[in-house]
Amino acid sequence: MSNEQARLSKLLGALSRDDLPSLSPTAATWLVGMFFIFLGQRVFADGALEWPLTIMGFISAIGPVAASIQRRAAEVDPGRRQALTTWVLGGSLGLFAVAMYFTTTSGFTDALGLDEDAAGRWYGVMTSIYLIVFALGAFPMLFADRVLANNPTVLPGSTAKRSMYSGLATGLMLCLLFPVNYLTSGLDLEYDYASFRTTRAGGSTLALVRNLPDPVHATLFFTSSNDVKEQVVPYMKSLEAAADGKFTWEVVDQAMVPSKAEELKVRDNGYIAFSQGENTEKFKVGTELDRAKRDLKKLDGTVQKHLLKLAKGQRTAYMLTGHGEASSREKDNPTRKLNLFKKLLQGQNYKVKDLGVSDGSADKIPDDAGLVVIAGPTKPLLPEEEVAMSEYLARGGRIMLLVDPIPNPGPGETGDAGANLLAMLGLQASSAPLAHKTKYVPQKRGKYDRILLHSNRYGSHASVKTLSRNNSRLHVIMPTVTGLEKIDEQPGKVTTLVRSHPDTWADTNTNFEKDTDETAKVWDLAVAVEGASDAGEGEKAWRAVVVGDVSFLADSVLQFSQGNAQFALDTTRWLVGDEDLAGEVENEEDVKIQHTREEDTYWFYGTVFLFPLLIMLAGVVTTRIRRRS
Amino acid sequence: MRNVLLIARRDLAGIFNGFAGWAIIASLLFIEGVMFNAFAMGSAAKYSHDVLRDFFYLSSGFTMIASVLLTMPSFASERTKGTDVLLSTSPITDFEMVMGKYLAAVGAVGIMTGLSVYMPLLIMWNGNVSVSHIAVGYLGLMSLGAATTAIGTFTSSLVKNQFAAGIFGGVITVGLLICWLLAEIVDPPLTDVVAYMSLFDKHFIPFQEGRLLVTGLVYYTSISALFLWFTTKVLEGRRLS
Repeated sequence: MSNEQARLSKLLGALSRDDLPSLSPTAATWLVGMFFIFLGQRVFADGALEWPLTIMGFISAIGPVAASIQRRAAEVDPGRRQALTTWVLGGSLGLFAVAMYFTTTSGFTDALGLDEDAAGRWYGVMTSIYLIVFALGAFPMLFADRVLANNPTVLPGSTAKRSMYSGLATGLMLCLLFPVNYLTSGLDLEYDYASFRTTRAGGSTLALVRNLPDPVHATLFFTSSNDVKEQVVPYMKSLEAAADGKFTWEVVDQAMVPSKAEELKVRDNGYIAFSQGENTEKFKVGTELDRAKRDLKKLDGTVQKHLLKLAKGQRTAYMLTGHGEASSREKDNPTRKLNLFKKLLQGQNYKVKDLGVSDGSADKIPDDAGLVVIAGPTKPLLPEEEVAMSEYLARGGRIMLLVDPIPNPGPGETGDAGANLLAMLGLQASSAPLAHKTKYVPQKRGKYDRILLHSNRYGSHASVKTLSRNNSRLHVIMPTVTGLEKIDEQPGKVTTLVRSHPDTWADTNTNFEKDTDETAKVWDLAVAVEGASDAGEGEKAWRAVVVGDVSFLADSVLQFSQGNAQFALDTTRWLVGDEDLAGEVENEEDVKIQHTREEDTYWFYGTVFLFPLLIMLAGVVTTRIRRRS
Repeated sequence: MRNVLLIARRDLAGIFNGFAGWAIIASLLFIEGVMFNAFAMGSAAKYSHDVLRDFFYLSSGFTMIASVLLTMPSFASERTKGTDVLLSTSPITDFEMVMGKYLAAVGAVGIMTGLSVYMPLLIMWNGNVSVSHIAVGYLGLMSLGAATTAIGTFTSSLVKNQFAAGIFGGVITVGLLICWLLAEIVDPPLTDVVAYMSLFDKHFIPFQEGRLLVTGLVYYTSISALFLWFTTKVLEGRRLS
């Protein structure tokens, strides 16, 4: 015999020798009979096997009861007689329960002449009763069977009685558990703790109310006892506390003060209206908390958007088109789709428009252009467009220039489409993407990931103040970024915003390895440039933010990188002169977790090895201490 | 109550006195860590709620496995060693004995489950999940663990062989798990009853999503109470025979 066979026979031997509760043949036959009835009536109902199985089941169940009646009659020991009485009564009750089951069938209810509703009620009541009867019969029967098997000749009367009561108690317990569970499921009590929180007022919104040019009054339209109101009021209180009298609020029931509602053009409760002088901005959060949760998670952003409309008025941001730029309409290349960036600008109260040749990009940048975004052109600008851009800067314009390294340009593309614009700002870019051996975001888990850089090394500039303060958790992710360098002629003051990590190299041959002819150093990844305006004294200086990457604003990156979103927000604010509004906009919506390669390593080794090792160590120490003592 | 705590303390000490208990917990946490990184975290960016939900999904499996493993020797080992005679002749009721053993096993499962909290805390640090979501998830894990521990305690009381006890416990647990699939093939009104008896899909999923359903708590308490009752009856039956 092999080792395996020996082990198996030992186990089987142990099982057969074991004290497993065993059923007598009569009890087993009774149970099998019940099972056949169940099969016939529930599993093979309306089939060919329905009645054969049912009849066989009845015979199998009645036979043991009859046999037990006979055994009882022949039994001399009083205790065993008592147990057999329990057996017979229990088995009979089980059969009675099956008979009650048949009164729930459609044939029986039709025979009683019950209509559909009455039949439904009859069915419900009888089902509950027959199940209870079955439990109160089966369990005492099984307990009696066991005690009879263990006491084949003499059985104390007290033991017989105890087994009957145990069986009844077990049946009753089952009968109690079902209605308790049924009633609880009917009550449907649910408490959702899945991270619902109304946003707190963010640093940016607090700065906004602190610097309001004119006072703003908020009217909250809710009834006095409303759950949504209870969520919004603390938020408004925090704004009021920060605003130094420039922000006030009140709660008003739309039905009780119709004049106020009419004045602010509000037709229902659930609205929040901001008024500044004659101007009003309002939005709806609703009056039911379940529905309002989604909006309350973004309350800070919504409030800021509407306050900006009042405080700053609407501004226009132009996105240059016609040169293969990345845009919100990009369909083919997800790393150049900027839909979320567009929404981010709209959230800051910008109207986002296209600016192509037909809109005057080769003639004059429109006067209402608060900001011009040039998002990774793959074809060079027309000479006239470059002149128009230069003139725009000269009169205090603001541009955000995103350049992309294209080592292998396609037909009609050039690898240095933005070179002239960069030169205008006193900069040049390497044509190759930068790479680093460890400071990258793992995506495909191969060498290609080495160009998906991240950084939390920020300069000392107003637009990256928030990022600097929170650099341990706010990284900027820059997939395929190129390095920026100053050239000799400097039209303005260049300040670094984001730097790469040391030992970053420009991967000129895109083999994702550091070759000997490739220089490794700290590169500037994003810079701010500020120059004097030619328009005259007192006119604002021109400003530009240049980033060596366009995909850092792509939807696929912005949706999970808070650092990128914060960078986009704060640089935009700096560009238009709103640097005092720099700060986080609080949002309680869920965020995606995406680790850098190092974080991946820490997470992996920490969760897989470190903690289990600590547990093992605790085990070693505890057992040693115990042994010594 | 004193007797219950006495037995519980004795059994819990038995688990943690030797190195084996610690090694089992460390091994399970190691495997859980690997699964967490491979499946819950994955390679692509995922919403932190989804990561937390997947963590609880994986942990529920480990909790059930740990419950079966830790309860295997509860009563079976006493009978193998012959110490069950001492217990049954001591002035301790069957109920106290069962509760003592059960509390020890639940305590061990609770310690093992609780020690995994560093993983959801990491999710909270990097994502946007709340402490209450994590707490509700762990309440669900403990409730599930308590129910499967009661099942394991019952099967341990049935047989002398620990391995057999583990197998029976696993069979009953899997049986309750697949009730969800069985419900699809059974006719009404049994559909609802069988679906309700499902150990995981019906009652645990809301916990892993941060939703506290009173039905789930009542269900797991009912399963625990039922199997502990059965265990008490098994011991009682053995004492009477």
